Amino acid sequence: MSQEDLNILIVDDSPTMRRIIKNTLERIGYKNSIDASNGKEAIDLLEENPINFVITDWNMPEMNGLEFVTEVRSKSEYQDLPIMMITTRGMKDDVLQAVQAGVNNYIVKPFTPETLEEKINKLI
Amino acid sequence: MGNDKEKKSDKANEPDLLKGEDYTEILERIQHIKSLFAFGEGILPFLEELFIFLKEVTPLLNDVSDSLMNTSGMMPDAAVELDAAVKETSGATYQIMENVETILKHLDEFKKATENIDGIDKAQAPISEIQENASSIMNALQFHDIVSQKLVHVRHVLAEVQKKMLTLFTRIYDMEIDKSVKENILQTLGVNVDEFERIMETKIEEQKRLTADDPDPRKQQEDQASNFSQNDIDDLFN
Repeated sequence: MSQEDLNILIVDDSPTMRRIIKNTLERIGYKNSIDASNGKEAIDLLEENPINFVITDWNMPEMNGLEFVTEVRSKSEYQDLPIMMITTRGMKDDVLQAVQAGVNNYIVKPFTPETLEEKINKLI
Repeated sequence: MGNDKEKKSDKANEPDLLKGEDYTEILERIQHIKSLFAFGEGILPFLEELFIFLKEVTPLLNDVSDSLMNTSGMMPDAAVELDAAVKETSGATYQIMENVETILKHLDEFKKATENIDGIDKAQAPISEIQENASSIMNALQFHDIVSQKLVHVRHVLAEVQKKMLTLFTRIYDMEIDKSVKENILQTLGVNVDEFERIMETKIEEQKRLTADDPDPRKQQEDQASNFSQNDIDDLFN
C-alpha cells in the first residue's frame, strides 16, 4: 500500500498529541489523516470513513484506547485493520493487555518520527 | 431477786472487750494500710514522671495534629494548583505548536516558490536545517502530554494521602463515646472542637468526591517494578 492510499485515524484526547502525530505523519509522507478525541468518536469516524490504519492513545475519557480496540476487534469487518497504540503506559502488564485486546504494535511516548515511520512501514 | 436484776443490767452496760483474734485482724489491716502507703510511695515517682512526660508530649501532639489538619486542608488546594498547571502548560504548548507549524508552513511555501530558481539548492540547505529543527521542537512538545499524565498521577497520590488523613480524623469523629470524652481527646490533640464537626462533614463529602474514580496508587507503584522498555515491546511484536 502506498503512502497516498493510507487513511489514518488518530485517536488521542490531547489536542497537542493529535497535532504532533498528524504533523509527524505528514513529515514522513502520510498526508491523509483524521482525528478523534476518544474511542467513542473514533468508532463513529471509523464507520463513516475508509480508514485503513489506526493510531490510538490509551488513557482517554468516555472510551479509552483499550476499550476502543476491543470494540473494533469485536466487529468482523475490522479484523485486519492495523492498529497501533502510542501511550505513556509502559508497564509489561499494559503491553500484554493491549496485545490481548488486539493491537498490532505499541509505542511508548515520547516517540521519534523514525520509530513511527518504522512501525507503520512494518504494518502496511 | 433485786440483786440478780442489777447484775444483769451491769453486764448489758459493760463494753465488748476485744478478743485476741480481733487484735490480729487489726494488725493485719494496719499491715495492709502500711503496704498501700509503701506502694503509694513507690508509685509516686512514676506518676510524677508520667505527668512530666504528658506535659512535654502534649505540645508535640498539638503540633502534629495542627499539621495534620492543616495539611489535610491544603490537599484540595494542591490538587487545584496541579490542575491549573496542566491547563496553563496546555495553553502554552498549543501556542508554541501553532507558531512552529506556521514556521514550517512558510518554509515549505518558500521552498516550493524558489525550487525553479537556478542555484537555489545552496540557499535551500539552511532552510531544510531550520525545518528539521522546527520539527524537533514540535516532537519535543510531547513532553506536555507526558508531564500532564504524571501530574494527574501525583494528584491521585495526593487524594490518597488525604483519604488516609481523613480516615484518621473520621475514626475520632465516629467514636461512640461520651461527647465530653471525645472533646477531651480532641482538645488533647489540639484540634478546635467547635470547628471539628463542621470541617469533618465537609471533608467526608470531599473525600467521597475525590476518591470516587481514583486508581489505587499502591497498585501503580507495584506496577512500576514491571516497566517494559521499547526494546522489550519490539521483541514482543517481532
